[in-house]
Amino acid sequence: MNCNEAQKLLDDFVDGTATAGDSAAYRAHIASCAACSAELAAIKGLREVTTSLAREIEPEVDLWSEIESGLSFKLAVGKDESRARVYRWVWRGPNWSAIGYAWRFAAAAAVALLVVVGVREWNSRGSHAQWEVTTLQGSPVIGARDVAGEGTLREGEWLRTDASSRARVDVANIGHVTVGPATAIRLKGSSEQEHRIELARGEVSAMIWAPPRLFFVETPSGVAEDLGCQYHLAVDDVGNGVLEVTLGFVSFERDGREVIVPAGARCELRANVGPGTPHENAASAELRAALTHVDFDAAPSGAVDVVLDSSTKDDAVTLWHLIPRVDGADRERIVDRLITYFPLPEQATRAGVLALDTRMLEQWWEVMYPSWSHWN
Amino acid sequence: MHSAALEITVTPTPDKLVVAGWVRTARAGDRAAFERLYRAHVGRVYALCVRLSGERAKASELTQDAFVQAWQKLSQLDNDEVFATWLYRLTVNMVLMKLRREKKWSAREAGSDVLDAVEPIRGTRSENPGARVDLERAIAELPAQARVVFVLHDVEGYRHEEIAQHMSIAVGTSKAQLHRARRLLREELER
Repeated sequence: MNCNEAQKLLDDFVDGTATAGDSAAYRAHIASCAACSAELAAIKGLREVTTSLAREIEPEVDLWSEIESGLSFKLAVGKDESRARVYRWVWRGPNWSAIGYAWRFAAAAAVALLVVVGVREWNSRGSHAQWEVTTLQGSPVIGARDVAGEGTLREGEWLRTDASSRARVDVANIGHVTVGPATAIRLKGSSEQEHRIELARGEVSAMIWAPPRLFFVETPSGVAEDLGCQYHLAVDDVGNGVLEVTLGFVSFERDGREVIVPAGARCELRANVGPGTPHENAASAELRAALTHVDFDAAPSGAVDVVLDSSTKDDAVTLWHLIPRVDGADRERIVDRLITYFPLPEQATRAGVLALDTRMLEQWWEVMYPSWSHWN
Repeated sequence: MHSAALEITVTPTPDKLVVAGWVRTARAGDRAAFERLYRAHVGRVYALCVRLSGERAKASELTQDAFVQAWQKLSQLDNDEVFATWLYRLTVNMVLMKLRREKKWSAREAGSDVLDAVEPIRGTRSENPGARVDLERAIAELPAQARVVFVLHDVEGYRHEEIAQHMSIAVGTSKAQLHRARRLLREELER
């Protein structure tokens, strides 16, 4: 054995992973090589100091209060849409409310880190404060009075903008909403438990940093429920609209028909019906048209074929949502396609997701959105 | 980077059955029980985060995130008596994920998968590579991937196969990075 060969064996020898033959050869070499022998002694010395390192290091400040803020979020979730509720749920047909809870859990957990930060801010500032309105452009009106620069929106009051007006509303210290032109919103309620507005028409962009499920926007097609995020919501004159999310997740629900829209995706909204299947902003026109058939036509013949033909790995959010929306062979095709894009996690089975096992669907979601679900 | 002397504490390790009781209570939503779990394990978790990240400020954030995540995942723990092991694994996974997301290591940094690429070191060296505090500082200053491999292997006792799996690298890369880390540490401590 020469010195180069001894070098390559050094770590394995020190770590006890070299073969008996290699170890013997190594020992024979260092017996006659002072340099390699000294090298071995140095590594052993380093290992000795390393093993004496403290197993524990105390943080410079107590971290418990910050951690407890994060736990507050979790407990708040547990009061109404708890993990237990998710796991108790048994699929009994196309129950969108139930599947929605699965989504809620996955999404809420996924944005946990974001929420920790938000809760810190929320706890430090309090969530029950006035709704201040600032004119951004034109002449917004609260009730019958002009905002004239700044004003306060009180419970029950309408804030209206014309085609050339815009306003910003600071939502009780938990975020803000930019109110677009030709928009009408009403403050329906504001408390420590929830803040709720109605969007009758027009558009709002919301940035909320409070814990999830604290800020709600009612529309003619359902209710948007903030899960810690940034989003844009538009409603036309007949009550149809669109929800587009740019950060975090938003839940949208009507009469048990619920979706969760992640950042980078959007969802069509239909008055008196509810939300359509979410799709990525970059989804093809064919895919979007097919989804309209699946979501809103009584007999969407052939639409699943189009979805499968026009979808890619980037359309996972769409395929995942479609699983409980279709049945029989169509569901199997959707699942099998999604498996080719995102293999099922160890805990999930094909039969399980076909049977709409909530936990398995959640786990699969975590595979599709690892950067989010990591925080779960 | 930190170079100040580290404050080292030794927290009495509670009995596993006691810990298991706290876990059960915490799982039911009892924050006081979870605080007891935090008090009993924070030193170990923080040490992991300091050494893996190389930054004390970041380690505080990571420690907070690890405990929040543990709280959220308590229902997934099958055996309450192995809470500590489970918590440390969870912490390692979370820190590695964060480092990867922050691109703290790259393919270039990873170097070659074969030990041939690692230069042998010659020269004078001391019998004692240095005091523990010097070693902590030197570990913090290692390149990210070498630091993580060194901490997991030499401090935490992981095998190369486990490290490779956790870090999504080849076993050979893990070995090469360990060799690199040891070499750099010796050079640093011999200055």
